Order: sequence, then C-alpha cells, then structure tokens
Amino acid sequence: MPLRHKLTAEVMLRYNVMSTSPFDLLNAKRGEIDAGRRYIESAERSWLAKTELDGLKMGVEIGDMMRTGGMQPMAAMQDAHQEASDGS
Amino acid sequence: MEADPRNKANHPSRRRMLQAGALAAAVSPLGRVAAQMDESEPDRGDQSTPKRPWRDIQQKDYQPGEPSRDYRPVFAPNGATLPFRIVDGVKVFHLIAEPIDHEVVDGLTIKAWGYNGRTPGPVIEAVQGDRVRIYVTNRLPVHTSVHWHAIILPNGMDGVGNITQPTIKSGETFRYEFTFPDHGTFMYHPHVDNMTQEGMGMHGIIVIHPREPEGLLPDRDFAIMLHEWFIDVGTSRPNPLEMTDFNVLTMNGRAHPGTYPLVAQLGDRVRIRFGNLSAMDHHPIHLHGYAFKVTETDGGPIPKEAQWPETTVLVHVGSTRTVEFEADNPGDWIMHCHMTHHTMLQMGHGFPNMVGVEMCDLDKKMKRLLPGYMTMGQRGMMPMRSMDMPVPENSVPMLGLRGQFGPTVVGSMATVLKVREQTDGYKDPGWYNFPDGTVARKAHPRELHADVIL
Repeated sequence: MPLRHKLTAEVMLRYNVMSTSPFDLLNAKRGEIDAGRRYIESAERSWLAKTELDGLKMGVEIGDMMRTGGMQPMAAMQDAHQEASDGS
Repeated sequence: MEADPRNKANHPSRRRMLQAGALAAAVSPLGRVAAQMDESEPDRGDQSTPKRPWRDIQQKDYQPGEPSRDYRPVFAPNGATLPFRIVDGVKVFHLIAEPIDHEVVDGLTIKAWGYNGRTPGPVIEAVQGDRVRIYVTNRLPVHTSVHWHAIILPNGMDGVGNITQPTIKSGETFRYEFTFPDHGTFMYHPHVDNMTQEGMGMHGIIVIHPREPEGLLPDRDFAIMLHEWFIDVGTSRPNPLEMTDFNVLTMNGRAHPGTYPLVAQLGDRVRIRFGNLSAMDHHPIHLHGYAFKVTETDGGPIPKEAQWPETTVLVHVGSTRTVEFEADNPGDWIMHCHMTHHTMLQMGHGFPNMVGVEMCDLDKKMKRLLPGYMTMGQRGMMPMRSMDMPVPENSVPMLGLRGQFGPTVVGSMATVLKVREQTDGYKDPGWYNFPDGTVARKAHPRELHADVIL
C-alpha cells in the first residue's frame, strides 16, 4: 500500500512534466486503489478466518452461523456445510 | 588478368603532373596547400609519390606556436582549453578520460564520462606544423582510445581501438605523437564502443591555427561542440542506448538557459566554429540578425569564390563548420538549432496530443481522484512552465530562458549572441537596452484606425 501510494506520487510528478500520459496516471491510481481493495479484502478474510477458528475452539461453527443467521448445533449443520463447500 | 592499377602512374602526362606536384610540395612551406594546388586526377593506385601531407609537414622545423604571438586563442563558452608544456620543441598535452559529475543546467546534474573533468573535453589548440605529444590516461572502467577526427596523420596515430592500436585499458596511459599538417577545426573522440562512449559525453574540439594566416585575424573566435542526450526525468545517467528520443541537447555540454552568451563588440570580425558529435542528429544552427559565410569544414578552408551567404548552417554528425561575419548589428540575437524539438529541455515525447481539447469538468472529476491533477497540453507548452507544479528531482522539464519581457520555453540547443557598442572582454553585458521606440508593442487603436486595420 505505501509503495503503491508512492508510485502514484512518482507517476504524478512525471505526469506534471508531461513525461507520461494521463492514462498512465489513471492506471497508477487504479493500481493504488486495487491494492487498497485487496488489502481490505485480505483483512476481511483474515478476520473471518480468525473468528471461525475462535468459534471452532469453542465448539461452534461460526462460518455457518454467519451464513444462516443463527446459532445451531454443530452436528446438525454438517450436511449444510458440505453442500456449501461443494457449491463453491 | 586485370591490369595492375599501379601502371597508371607510368602514363606520361600523369607522371609529369605528379612530378610537378611533388616539386610544389617541396618548395611550399605547407604540404597540404601544395597538395591542393596539384589538380591532377585522384592518385588512386599511385605508389611512387603518395599524398602524405603529414610527412611533408614533419620535415619542416617549426617552432611551437605560442598564444598571442602566433594566434588569437579561441573562446569556448562554458568550456576550457587544454594546457600544454613544451619539451624539446614538442607540445605535450595530457588528456584524462574519466567519469564525471556534470551540470547541464542549474537543476540537472548528470553522471557522464568526459576528459579532464568535463564534457566536452577541453579544446586542444595548436598551430599548423606544431609537433605534439598527447598522453591519454584512462580512468574509465572500460577500454578506450582517442581518434583525432579529420586530422591527416600516420595510420598508427589514428586511434582506432584494435585496428590501428591496442585499446587503452583502465589505468593505462598511452602516448600519441604527430604533427598537425593543416589548420582548421577538428575533433577528438574515442574509437572503442563509440556509441556508448561518445553518448556518455566523450568528445572535444581541436582548433589548429594557420601558421601564416591570410587576411585579418578574427576579433572573436568561438568554439562550440554540439551534442544530444537522453536523460529521463528524475534520473542522472545519460542513456546511450537511445536512438531517437533525445531530450537534452547541448552546446559545449550546457543546455540553454545554462549556456554562456557569445559576446562581441560592434564591428568585431566574429568566427564561430561548430563541431557535432551527436549520436543521431544533424543540427541546423540558425543565427538571428546576421547573414554569415561558411568559411571552413573539417576538410579544409572553402575557397572565397565558393562561399555563399547563409543564416543557418547545417552541422552534420561527425563534421565541423566554421562561419564568419562582422558584428554590425547590435542587440541580443538568439542562436539555436532550428529543429524545434532540439530547443525543448527534457520534453516528454510520448504525451497524447491535447492541443485544442476542451476539458469541460474533467479536471474537477480527476481532482476528486488525484488532488494535484491538472490537464496539460491543451494550449501547448508555455502554460506548463508557469504553473509551478512539483517536478521530479534533478530534472528541468521544458525549462527555458527568462527574457527581459517574460518567460520562454527556449531551452537546450540555444544561446544568445550579444553585440554591444562597448564590451568588457567576454563578460556577459546583461540584457540589451533597446533604443526608445524600437521594440514591437501592442498597437494603439488610433494606429489601427489610421492604417485601416479593422
């Protein structure tokens, strides 16, 4: 992220001197935004995985709980979980 | 079986001419002049009396020419002249090929290669007939050599690496010794990996003054080496691999507005010698306010009857041109390469054409994404310089000379000839003080009305 931010700033300087086109500048900015989005998505996945792991430690399938919207006994959800995995 | 071409030399009329030529060479103090007077057909195949002006001149015993006594030294704006010492009647010079940090213009310093701390290398100045010994020390990380461009000399002194001599390896010092047979403007440069080494800034001018000058000496004698570079904005290493996209063009290694002006006093006879060792471009150098005559090339002086007036002299790659005129028109006259891209400093050539494009609210939308954004190029290059936007470090994009009436984008291969009633040597006299009423100005409505300009 900081690297991408710096890259946009550098491309901006090169754009300022008409050494690179506005499209290169937009591409650089898109790269920066993509990097930000990927960061947010990675952080989200990381937190979800952590939450799931914490749940499993407590004997609760939190992943399924989030999908179904309620807490259910672990054994009853095994099949549903299998379906979800196959469907993905 | 083919006839031996040498038999041509036995043709009676040809033989007579050759004998006459040899006689002329023997009686003339200067071999080359005599050789030029010999109007015989080309002596192709002739082995008996070959044209070797260097040999004829070597047989003469000339005293080493002294500045002020034998010649009026040239002035290389932003340049230098190589010092020498005389040892037993021979002028001894020492060239040092080395990496250098070189300021092209205030704001742009590059890591180049040059001679004796500079690019172009210092001017080697001597007098026709001078015997010289030139030591060349190689402090570069690569092999090199020095070729004495357009000097007629014995083959072994020609400086072509691995063809006429072994290359000079890092740390070695080589010795060249020869006699300058002709007067004129010549050059020196490596002849090992020329593309890289010349591209990195290795070259210099050689000025040889006539032993017996004809007519009056010039009052001002300038020497200017032309060169081109690709130095990407924000970098400091010239890129010798570039073949077309040059963005820094220099006179004596400096880009305008960093070029020192050519100063002359009203009535001076002015001579300007140009050399061009650019990688890929010829340079049509145009001088405002004057018509001059091209008097010499690196092949020799042009006979008076063959000189014609010009205002632009095309200096080809690998050639020198000398022009002369009388400084009879006072003022600040710019002198520049007339290829318009050659007067733009660090111009980016890959930018889309924006001229005349209406931006509507694009800027506003772009600014939401990129706060510092501003669309450029719709009105050419002039606005860019006045916006004062942040630019990459060590770069001088579209920098131009700031004149007494405002900014310009005239940069790179340009300088100013300043002709004044009174001068203080070569000291920059500042901007021209225009006599009242002699400057173009905005027309008054009354004037428009009177001249029926509606």
